[in-house]
Amino acid sequence: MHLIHSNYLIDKRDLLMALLEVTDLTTTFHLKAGVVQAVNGIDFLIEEGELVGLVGESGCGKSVSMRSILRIIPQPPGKIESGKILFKGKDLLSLKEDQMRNIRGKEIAMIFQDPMTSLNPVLTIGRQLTETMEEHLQLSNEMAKKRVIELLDLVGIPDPKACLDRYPYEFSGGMRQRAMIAMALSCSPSLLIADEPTTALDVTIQAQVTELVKSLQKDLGMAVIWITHDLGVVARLVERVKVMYAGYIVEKAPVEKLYSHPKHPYTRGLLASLPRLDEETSAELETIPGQPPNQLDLPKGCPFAERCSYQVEKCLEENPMLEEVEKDHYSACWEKDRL
Amino acid sequence: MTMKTSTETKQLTTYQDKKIESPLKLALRRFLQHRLAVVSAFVLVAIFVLCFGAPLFTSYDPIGMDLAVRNQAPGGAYIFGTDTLGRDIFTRTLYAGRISLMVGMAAAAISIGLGIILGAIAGYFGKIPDMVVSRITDVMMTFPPLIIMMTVAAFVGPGLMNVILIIGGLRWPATTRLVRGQFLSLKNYEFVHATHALGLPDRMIITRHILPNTLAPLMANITFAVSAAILSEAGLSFLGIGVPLPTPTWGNMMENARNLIILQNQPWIWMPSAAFTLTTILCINFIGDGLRDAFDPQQLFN
Repeated sequence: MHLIHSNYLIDKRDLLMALLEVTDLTTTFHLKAGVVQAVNGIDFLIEEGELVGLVGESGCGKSVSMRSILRIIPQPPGKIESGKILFKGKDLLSLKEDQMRNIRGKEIAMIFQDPMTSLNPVLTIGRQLTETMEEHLQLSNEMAKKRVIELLDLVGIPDPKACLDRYPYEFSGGMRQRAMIAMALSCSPSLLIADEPTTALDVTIQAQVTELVKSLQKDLGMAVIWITHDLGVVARLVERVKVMYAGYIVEKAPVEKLYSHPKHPYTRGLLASLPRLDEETSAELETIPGQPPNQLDLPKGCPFAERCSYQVEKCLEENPMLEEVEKDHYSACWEKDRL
Repeated sequence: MTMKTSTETKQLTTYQDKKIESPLKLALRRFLQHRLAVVSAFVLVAIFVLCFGAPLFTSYDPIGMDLAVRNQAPGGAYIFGTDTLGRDIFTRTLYAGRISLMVGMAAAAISIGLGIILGAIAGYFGKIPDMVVSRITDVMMTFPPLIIMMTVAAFVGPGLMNVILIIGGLRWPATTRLVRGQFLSLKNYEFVHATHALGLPDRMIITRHILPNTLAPLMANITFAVSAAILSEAGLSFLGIGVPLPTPTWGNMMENARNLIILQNQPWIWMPSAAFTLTTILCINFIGDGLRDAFDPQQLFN
């Protein structure tokens, strides 16, 4: 009896195991001008069914790190230098290319920023949606079509049956992004990577798509990594946030903590530079001075040091590691206690 | 039947009944607005019907000689007259058209096929395959085509199959470059990244996703390849190293014009085949122009 009981406990713990565990992921691009250090040894965990935000400005390595997980960065010039990506216990970086193909689209799906360009203009919507399922699930064309109609209905496209024979140019941006989401969901992935899916859409459609992904995430129980530079979207959507800067994760925290008590000067700067409706409109918007460092030649110390108002001598000498400030709240800053 | 007048029902039906237009249909509609191309298409169809339905239009034998009626001027029983061996020029021109058009299309099919395969491999995979294909293409393109064709033709000897293989085997570099360039740019499009992220295999990405997108520039290239192949065949046959006699082709019929007396005094012997060649080439090129405009992605979805 005792034995059975302990086995049961182990099973329970396994169920709570992380879906995706990334350790020390480093991705570089070898260009003629030198080596671009796009992602510099980032670590993070994604648990099953959770919604995580990945925030940062353009070029900070958000997309590259996510594409490294799927191994779809162009190689060369790109190169995954080191790291371990455990997905459901399998190390994705050691898989063969054809094994990896069974992960892409089937286990981990991705939706892209611009729905205007991420659908093939010369193929019908139906064709583009069915082929993923025919490839991964070995469904017959008829079965796949039935499921596509269900999926299009699920993502809120009116008259899904008629849409099968339509071409992307007949769809509006919001409709296309819905079709892209349907395509990503077609093989019921356990992880969805959404790479700024609302950036190219106008605000009302943005809200609709955000709500759609959130409700789908709840209903289907999949984990979602939402890449964005829009802190507003993150606030109402996700549970935990990771902030990236110059290829490093500089802060990670549950969303309420990040907004109420940011523990990294960069996050604080980002939040301060958001326009607010509840403050005087004539007040000048705060900005973060300077530019992000050149990733061809990263400084020795903290990459944010030059732009930071909390800078001390140590910042220029040594790059701080991510350390726990309080429970579940990590920050990579020497002066985090002053914040 | 009573007409429903409620605007709501009306709108609904118009949305449902809206005809779905594939990019191909759209292009066809645009092509039909190109007047010169449409006229050319009609003329070309007429030439095809005349040539491939030759027995319907003439009862003479294209290679049967009748020395009693040598060098007849046009008119009477012989619409275009007869040649130095008493063969009906009209009949020979039509039968020659069969060979010339067939050689043109077969050679173009070979060169386009090779061009697409090599261009797709080079453009999609890059690296070493691209290096190899591109260098071979470069070398091939440095040769003056007619000279190398003549050399090879002289080497392997005349014959219908040889001519097709020579022309087809030497004309692929242009198509290869075009397809490679298209693949190089298309493979960086977001929708191709999306197919990678969906885990589709390379062969599917190449054939189903990228290739259909190269169709627009390819269509024009295909038509020009056909006209170029017809011209090459005519050139080789004119020089006597193409399709051997007595099989008539437009090229070897024009060869008669190398004789000064025929050139000056008996123009009916070489003019019909020259006129057919000229008309065919012009028609194909106009159609090519029309197709290029029709498939122009800038205008396609307007």
